[in-house]
Amino acid sequence: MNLTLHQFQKDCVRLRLPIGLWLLLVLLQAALIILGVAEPGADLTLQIIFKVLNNLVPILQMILPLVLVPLLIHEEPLVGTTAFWFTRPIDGMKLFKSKMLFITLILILPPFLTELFILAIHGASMDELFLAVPEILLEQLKFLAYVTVLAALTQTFARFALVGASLFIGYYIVGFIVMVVFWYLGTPSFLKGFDKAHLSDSRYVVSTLAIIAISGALLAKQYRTRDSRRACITAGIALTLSFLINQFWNWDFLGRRHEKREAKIDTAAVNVDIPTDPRVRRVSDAMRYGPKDEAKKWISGPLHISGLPAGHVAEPTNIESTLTLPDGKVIKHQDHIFGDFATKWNSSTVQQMLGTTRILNLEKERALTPTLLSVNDDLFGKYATIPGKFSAEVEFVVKRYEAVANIPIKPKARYDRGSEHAVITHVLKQTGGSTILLRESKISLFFIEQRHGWEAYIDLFMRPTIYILRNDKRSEALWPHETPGPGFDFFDPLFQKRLRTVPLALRYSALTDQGHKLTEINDGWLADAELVRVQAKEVGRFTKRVQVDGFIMGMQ
Amino acid sequence: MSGVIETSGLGKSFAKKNAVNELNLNVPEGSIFAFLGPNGSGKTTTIKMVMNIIEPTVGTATVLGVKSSNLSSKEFAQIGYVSENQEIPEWMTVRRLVNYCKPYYPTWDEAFCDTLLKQFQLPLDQPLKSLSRGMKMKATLASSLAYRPRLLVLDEPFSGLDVLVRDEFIRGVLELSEQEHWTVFVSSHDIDEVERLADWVGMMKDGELQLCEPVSSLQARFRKIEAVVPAGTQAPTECPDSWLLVEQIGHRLSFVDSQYQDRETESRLKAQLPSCEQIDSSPMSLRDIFLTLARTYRL
Repeated sequence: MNLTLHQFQKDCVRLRLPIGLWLLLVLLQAALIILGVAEPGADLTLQIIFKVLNNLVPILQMILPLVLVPLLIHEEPLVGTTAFWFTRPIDGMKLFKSKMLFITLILILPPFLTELFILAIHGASMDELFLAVPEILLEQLKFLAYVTVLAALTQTFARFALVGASLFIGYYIVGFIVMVVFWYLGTPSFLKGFDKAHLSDSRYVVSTLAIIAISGALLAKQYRTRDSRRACITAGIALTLSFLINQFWNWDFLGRRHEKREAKIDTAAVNVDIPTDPRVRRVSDAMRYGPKDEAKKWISGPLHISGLPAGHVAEPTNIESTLTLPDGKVIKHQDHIFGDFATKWNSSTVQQMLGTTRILNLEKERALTPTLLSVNDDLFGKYATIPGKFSAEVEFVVKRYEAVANIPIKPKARYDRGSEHAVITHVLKQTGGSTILLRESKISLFFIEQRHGWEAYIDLFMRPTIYILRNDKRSEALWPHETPGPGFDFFDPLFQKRLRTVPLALRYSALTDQGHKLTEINDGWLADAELVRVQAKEVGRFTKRVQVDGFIMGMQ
Repeated sequence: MSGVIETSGLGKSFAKKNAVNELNLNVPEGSIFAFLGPNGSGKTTTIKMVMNIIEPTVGTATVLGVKSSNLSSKEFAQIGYVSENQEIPEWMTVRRLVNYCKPYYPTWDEAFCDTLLKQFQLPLDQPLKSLSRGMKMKATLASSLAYRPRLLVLDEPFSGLDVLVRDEFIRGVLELSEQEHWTVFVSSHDIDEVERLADWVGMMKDGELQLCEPVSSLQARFRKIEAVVPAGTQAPTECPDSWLLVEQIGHRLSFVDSQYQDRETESRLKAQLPSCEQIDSSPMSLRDIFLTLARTYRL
């Protein structure tokens, strides 16, 4: 009899209850995602129950391996002097293989296949499925590597839990101390990697592979020799190596995904203008992160862009500026510019797209007001009102607005394109308008796009889609007031990695603040209306040099 | 005689304290070797080093001709190990334990296993955790004997067992080892338990081996000597080193001769105390020898 299988069989019998629970959780999660996303239904209570379960099940799915793995490994502990297998003809390597077989077949394969299945039924292409494989495996193996190594270096579950909790708390305490020290002393330049955010993806892949490889070797060695002291040292080295890779690895082999493409538009025709009038500029105190940070002022001001092709918008993403003062003093500034939520959608461009259909509740367009300059307080005090020569290189990302679908105004009406979906769950009528509850979902893969933890939140507020309520017969349209829909909670992005679902409440009102009706929204109006899904698609970037003679920073 | 277990300068220290020191031991093939000593004398540490459970600080041990650090499943398939400290998979029933162990042993004897299970009167379908300590030890023993090991290592197998179970256990081991010509290495702090079993004995004190020889030779050279001396006679002040626990109470002088030789002991005593009369020598049990050594060397 194959002794590896014999051992595997024994472990399966021993752990049949937690295995059953684990498989049940995997199936439950699959069922919840399939039911909850594919068919939202009209029962909001049921949807909220789905929602709670949707968040609870992944937590349980994370907790259960924390119980299953130590139970599995501690069946034949690798430390201590009392284990049954130490004095039996049970070969360490066969034992190692049986444990790895268990982890692969029970802990890795079911959720892996389930997730691929879920992605497939959500329209993921073969390419997307192919790229999802390493992403899921890296994530699973990294987590299991930590848990298995910890279990292999402890004798009992109590000790596993205690050491695990201590390491977890210790990690955050050390992280907190490092953060405080950096705030106080200033972050060393070699650790400043914010401008290399995309590099962190390559670093994540390399450090994860290093953790998995070293853990595998450590476990194999530990099963062969039971040399716990050496194994602890190896584990320490692996953690240190992972930390170093995360800080110093510089080969951005995944960088191709983030290469800046030149926008294929006539950039010569694009005009970028900064008004000379200092009254339009805002001067604000810069936030100081530590007592050693110097007191600074941020000078921001409007940036007018014109000459873009129809349906296109440009958003500044980076600015490198200098202000040369009459006495020869030069103030330099460099900054990334993140989107201003309020000005994300260019409403006049959307209006252009709709042609003769007029958006009734279109708000006045606000100009982009990025930070143009930052200057320390002393210099600001000296030069605030002295005109200088301002020069800036501004990088813009160009987006094209496309109306990709017209969705009928009725529950269960859908938009499906590849792995992007939207479905209307409720149409709620109200005085002077309507609120449409809609659920959007899309597949987001690590090896296809840049994806960091915080981007899940940014995505939520800076979604590349907007839904305009349009009635072509009446040539009228309404701009939405968009809020997260029922069932949304802030923790969702933590649990939705590859398949993201956002419930949205889109409120369309034809009432002015004074209560005047812009038009009569009734059943008839809604019957002729549809939701126009507009997508902003990035088409490339360009850089423009802006010069302003007689630039005055302005007064606070 | 070749040793099934041999150690050479074997030592283990924990936090600079020597638990076992320079141990040179030879367990002859086919012997029932009683490894004796009080609690904390280093018996279990020695066994753990021999079985490759812990690594020696110095020295080497070989088992069945293989260095202990190189013991593989091939050797363990010929070794039976039962210890009071050993954890057993208590969630298993006796039947499951036996079925679990079986494929690991090429020499597993199904019929013999059934005989053992019957002999030990083990309930097959009860989980081990629900069994008494004695029953658990019997189950472990059955799973360690069913493959007819060449070497049976028993580390304090009797502690915590009631008298009846202990007696059955000893009888079982004795019968089987005689039938199968196994080598049995049994450690105990209680000499009564192993007296009936052993044909070789090793005694440990503070991590050092005090003696190691066949029981027959030990019992041949240890004799309790008693003599009658006239009133007022002083016990000899300079006795041979081999005379242990020399004491005089009234007319009676007694001691233990650890190098007893017929007539020579009497003549040496006569030489020391010419007035002594009625010299009696009596054989000693292993327990009495152990107690004598314990009192003499404060074992």
